[in-house]
Amino acid sequence: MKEKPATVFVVDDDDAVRTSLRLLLKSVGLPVETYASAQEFLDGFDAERAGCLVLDIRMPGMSGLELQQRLNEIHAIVPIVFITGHGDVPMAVEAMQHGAVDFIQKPFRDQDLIDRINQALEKDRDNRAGLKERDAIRRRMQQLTPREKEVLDLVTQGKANKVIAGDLNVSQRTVEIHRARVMEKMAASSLAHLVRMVIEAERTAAP
Amino acid sequence: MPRHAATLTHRQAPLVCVVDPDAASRRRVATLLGSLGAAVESFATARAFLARLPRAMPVCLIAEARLPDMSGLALLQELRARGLGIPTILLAADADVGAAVEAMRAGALDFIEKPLIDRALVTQVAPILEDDGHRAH
Amino acid sequence: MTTDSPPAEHPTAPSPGTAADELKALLDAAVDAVIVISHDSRIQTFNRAAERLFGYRAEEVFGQSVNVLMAEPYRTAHDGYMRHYMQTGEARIIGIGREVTAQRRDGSQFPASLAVGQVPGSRPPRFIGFLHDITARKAAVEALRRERDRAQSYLDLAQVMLVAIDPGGRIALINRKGCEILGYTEAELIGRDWFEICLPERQRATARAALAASLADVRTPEAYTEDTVLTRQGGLKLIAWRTIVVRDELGRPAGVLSSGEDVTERRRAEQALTRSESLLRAAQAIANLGNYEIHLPSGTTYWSAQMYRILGREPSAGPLPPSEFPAQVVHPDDRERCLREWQRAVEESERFDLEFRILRSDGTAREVHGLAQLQPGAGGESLVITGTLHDITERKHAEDELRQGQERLTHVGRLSTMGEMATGLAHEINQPLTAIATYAQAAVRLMDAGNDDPAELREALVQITNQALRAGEVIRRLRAFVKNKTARTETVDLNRLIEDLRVLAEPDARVNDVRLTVDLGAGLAPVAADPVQIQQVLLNLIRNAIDATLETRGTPREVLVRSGAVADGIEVAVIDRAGGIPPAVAANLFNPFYTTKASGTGLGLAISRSIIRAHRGKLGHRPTPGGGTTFFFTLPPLPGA
Repeated sequence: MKEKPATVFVVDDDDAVRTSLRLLLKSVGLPVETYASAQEFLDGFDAERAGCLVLDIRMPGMSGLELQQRLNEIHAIVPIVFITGHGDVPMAVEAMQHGAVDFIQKPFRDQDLIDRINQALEKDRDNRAGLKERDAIRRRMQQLTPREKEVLDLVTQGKANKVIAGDLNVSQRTVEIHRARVMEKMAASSLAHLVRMVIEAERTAAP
Repeated sequence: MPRHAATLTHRQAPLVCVVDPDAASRRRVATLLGSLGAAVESFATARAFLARLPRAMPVCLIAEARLPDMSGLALLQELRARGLGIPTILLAADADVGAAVEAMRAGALDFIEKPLIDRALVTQVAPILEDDGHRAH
Repeated sequence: MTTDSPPAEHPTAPSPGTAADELKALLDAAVDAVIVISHDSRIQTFNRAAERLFGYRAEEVFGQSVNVLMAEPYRTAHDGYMRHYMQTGEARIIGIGREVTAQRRDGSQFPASLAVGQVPGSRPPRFIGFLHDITARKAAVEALRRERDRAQSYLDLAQVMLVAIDPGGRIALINRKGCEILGYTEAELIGRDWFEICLPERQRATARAALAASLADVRTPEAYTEDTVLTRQGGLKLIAWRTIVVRDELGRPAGVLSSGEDVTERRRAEQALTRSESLLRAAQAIANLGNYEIHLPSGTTYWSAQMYRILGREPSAGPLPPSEFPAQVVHPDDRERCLREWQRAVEESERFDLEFRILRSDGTAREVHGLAQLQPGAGGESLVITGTLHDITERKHAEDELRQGQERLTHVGRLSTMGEMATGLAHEINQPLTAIATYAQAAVRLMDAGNDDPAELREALVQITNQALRAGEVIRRLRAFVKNKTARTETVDLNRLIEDLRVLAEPDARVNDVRLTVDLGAGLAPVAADPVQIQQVLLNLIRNAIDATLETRGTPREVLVRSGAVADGIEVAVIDRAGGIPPAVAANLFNPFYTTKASGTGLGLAISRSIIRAHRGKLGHRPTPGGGTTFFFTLPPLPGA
């Protein structure tokens, strides 16, 4: 699948700020899309698109913090860098508590913003990679037969083959076979690896 | 190990540590937290607190952002380096957004501007005390 | 007829033949008319005087009834008397000095005095009558009586008491006014001892002695004295006396005559006047108010004591003539204005009313308020200028301080409003600054990367300029608003003022997520106002509307500023759609320091209202139809607009 390059999404109600940011990001070769309001961004939001969000806080209609909350509600994990003309500590703390990557004040040094955008994009890549991996693991798990699933559970609980055989009322040898198949299907390199994968698969929210 | 320590303190009042060079401020926070049912130990410097650490493990740390020997931020980072995930709230008399964000990035639970502490502090700490240190991570 | 003077006769014994002649000569020499009549009233003798008096010749009346000489009713009465006498012997006709009305030959009548006697030894009886014309005497008596009556009426009319005291100290004469003053009737006073009845006891001895001295010519009585008299009721009255000694025909003192004026009331009035005058002086001193009078055309001037004090001049120097007042007293900078105003007042017969400065003789300047009015003087032609001069220096200083205090307060109000709007304004300035920084940095990067498309770079620079100007505009408005300046009235177009205000007001609204719109009425008349102060009021009202909107949930987040013409001028209304004002709050809205906001000073509305009041307008509020509150102020249009 051809991936769209990561895009920086800029949301700010001030025309001049949007336009100047567009120019700046262009100057560093980052693709940019600008939106004049949080609603406008939400309306066109596609969770599949890679990138990060550069977001003003005080805007008419939906504020930046409100947008952050909405995105959290729909489990969108796009990383957010807040930019604001206000020097409000409680606001900054709140944004950070709700998962913002960073929070910088206007006017800013271009390098500061660019650094943070890069960090955010990196985070997005990591997230997506993580997501991808989780999807892969989940898909692999779906390939398991019900019996193999049972074995997987018990193995990852740390039980010995003998005990598992007792629990499932099968021979130890059967357990060994199932276990080998599970390892193969899950492409696990070790038990620890398998455990990690299971934990990963069970995650529902972004780290 | 934190879990273990927490289990040990389960029968007694949960321990909260306060680190602040200003005596009046220490007293104030101590009184406030005491009223919530916490046992409070106060320290004037980060080092004094860190020294106390292995023996007494608080369920929550309240620290002034500007400490004479180490910034609150540095203290946070030190705790992280030691693998101690103690929920930490930073208090600042002279707060600015940059410091707040840095603190949050370093993993602080909250960053509160000093004149406004009472309500914010209570809001943050009370649940911790209820949980009695058992926080899901 | 000539009067013969009787020839001198020797008193010899009459010879018989000459007795009748002698008698005749006597009779003819007599001044009186002598008429002898018979018992039946026939005239037997009629002397020369009678002839002259009645106009008859003796021959004409001999044998006629004496009646012919009488007018009624005497004629009839005489007949009656004669008859009676003849019958009874009682003499009624006999008598001396009866007054009768006689009648001349020509029918004219005159008053006469008649004395009748019986001729001795005459039988039948013959009567002799002596008669003379008393017209003159009667006239004289009449004149005298009239004179006396007139004099009496003068005496009685006189509002002065007239008392004549005889040497014995008794009242010989007292007029009606005297009776009135003393409370007695004339009868009760005449002949009584003046000193006993009419003087208080303590004065009697002295007064008696004074009378005695006057009568003894030892001393002339005082021309004018004031003494008390004792009234019948026992009260005292103060009388101003003038006394002269009355002399008899030999020039000896025969008593004193005094005229006395009751000055009791006058004395009381004088005392009251003195008291009120000293009160006036005291009041003037307390109030620092002097008064003056200028009599025209003479220019005679009067200054009250306080005038001298205010002007710092010596009373002994006397008042300044009006012509010298401006040069000597009025501050040089105010002289022209003062003269002009004085002229105007004189020409238009209006009050002079001006505040100006004077210089005292020691050179200090004082602020005064001068008032003057032209009034007709006593006696038609003349005019009097009456005026006051009030030293208002202290008051003026207090007023100046108050005004400065108010301006400072108003200024503080502006700062406070600005403080409340600071967040929005800071944001408003920050946005262009951010854009500038970003554009500039972007341009640098572009150039570093060799990507120097001139069009793009140029665009960046253009945008930088625009954004810098944008920030500058906000700063400029802000500075003008918070500058501490004295209130200055200009001709203001309120719509333009509202538009200018948007630069400051919109950021505040935007930041709070409130939509600010304006609805400007067309063709509104200009007003006289201080634009900064009106903007202050408007910003305060808009701020309040935004706050109200923030506090209420579920209502439209809109604030509308509307201008329009109303009956008493131009109205500007700030309309919110929030929750309205509860009655408890409404009662206290304009009280200073009353606020429902956590960080409010409570001064905004109080200051706003005093600003609008100073502009002679009204500030008020009413509910917005459909929910919310409308605050409005009205300003009067320019006079003549």
